[in-house]
Amino acid sequence: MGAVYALIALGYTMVYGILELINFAHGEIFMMGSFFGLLFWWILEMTGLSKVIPIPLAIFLMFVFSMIATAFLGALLEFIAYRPLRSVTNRLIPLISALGASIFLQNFAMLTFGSTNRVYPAIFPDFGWNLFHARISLIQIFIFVTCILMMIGLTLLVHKTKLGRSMRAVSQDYVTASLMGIRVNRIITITFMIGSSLAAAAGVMYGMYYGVAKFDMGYLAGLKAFTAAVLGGIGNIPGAMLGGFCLGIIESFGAGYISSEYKDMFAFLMLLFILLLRPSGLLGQQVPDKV
Amino acid sequence: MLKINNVVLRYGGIIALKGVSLEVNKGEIVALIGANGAGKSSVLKSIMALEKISSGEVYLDNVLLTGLSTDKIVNMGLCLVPEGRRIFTRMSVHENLLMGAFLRKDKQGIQDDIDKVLTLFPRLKERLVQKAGTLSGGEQQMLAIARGMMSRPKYLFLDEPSLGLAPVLVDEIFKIIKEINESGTSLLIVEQNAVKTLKLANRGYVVETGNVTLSGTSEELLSSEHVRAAYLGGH
Repeated sequence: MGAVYALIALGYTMVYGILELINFAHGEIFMMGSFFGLLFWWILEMTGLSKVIPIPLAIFLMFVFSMIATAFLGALLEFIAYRPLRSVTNRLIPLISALGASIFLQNFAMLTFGSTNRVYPAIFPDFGWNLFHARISLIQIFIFVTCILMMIGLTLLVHKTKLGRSMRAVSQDYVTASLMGIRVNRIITITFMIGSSLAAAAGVMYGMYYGVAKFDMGYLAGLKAFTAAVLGGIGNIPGAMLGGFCLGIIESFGAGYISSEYKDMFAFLMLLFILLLRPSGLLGQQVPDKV
Repeated sequence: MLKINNVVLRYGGIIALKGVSLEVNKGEIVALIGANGAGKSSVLKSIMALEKISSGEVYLDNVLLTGLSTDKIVNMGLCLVPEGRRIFTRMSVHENLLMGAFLRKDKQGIQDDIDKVLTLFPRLKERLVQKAGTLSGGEQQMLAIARGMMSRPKYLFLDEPSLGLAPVLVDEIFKIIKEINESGTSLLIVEQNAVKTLKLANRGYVVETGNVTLSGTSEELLSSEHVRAAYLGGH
């Protein structure tokens, strides 16, 4: 699960890096991503295609559909909830807008998809190996590998492409970035789209792993991913990845050695300790910017 | 020719520019001098659309720029090197230069221009892969100017290029500004260092509390009683 937290955390951290805004609706974006994947599966079932096309292709298309749909949802969220507030100096106001958007999306999902668990198709073959004393299933390996590939992709995008360079420029100093000829609003939209599609992928994987999607699943997952982002140093992309993995490991060990009932508590206990001991996070900015 | 006509700029209730008009002819170096807070930087920000002006117009070769967004204005060949350098400290020197050429598509031309600015600023060449935040103040200023040149601007605006630099570095920067001008770029320079700037420039404008109070050739301004008393002090 650490890898999934890491994927969601990336969305938090990328948006914060650019706008210094905690997008509290990001957990709901993750939830919507999960439902978009499910929606696609329902379409496949209704049209009878689910029996025709091979399973790996169906899974792949689920990811693609969900990621594209959620990317547009993320862009829409930015356009409606954040862009009009861009010039407001009080940082509390966009935060409230984020909470509002989060409540809206949750209720929207509840009304559209119902308030109970929706069953995710068990299309992934239940397959596993025993390794030492742990059991590793195929889906776990699949999730881990997919997350790693996406993170590698994102890292390459951010560091090796012109788009990535302009994203970094906007996050460091958006006024100067505009002086270079960068369309800052466009970069912000793209950032929201990338962050949202990563969350959507996480949502589909989460649904496949636990077998359900629910309207309020974004709340806890979002908070944990936020913890992961803070743990790694918010605004810092490798930090979010590291934070996600650390959080997953700590949770598993906590659940295994202490009590699984307190599993969720460990995440937030850790958030508390980080904020007290090292507010800038594990990989937080240590080089001060020279003026 | 760049022409600024009767530009008024308000920040909330404060009027920063009360109807400023000035022009920069092709190939010129024009100095904008005046005290702190007189509105010099506001003129540059108004041209680049970083601040939304209340009235007035900016024309480039008789094309109206007012109302265009900053990226479009950059695309038309104007470039501002902002006050305080504002380089991307967490990017390498090389990446900063590439950012300057953001709107250009000609890969070979960009590489040629990087080589060109590196011969102009040999100090940057030694530090090409270093993070820009680790440069000294003077090197950062050089990088900011070099980055500005990477868009091949027709008009380059420099906001306080000598601020906070040691005198020997100021001389070096001013020498390079002269070279940039000789290669065909028109310049508008905002400076508190009035004598040095006027000696470099063809013409100048004196800005006082949001108005242009005096203009003329550099010689005229250098010999003007008013300018001598207000800005040249004991020099």
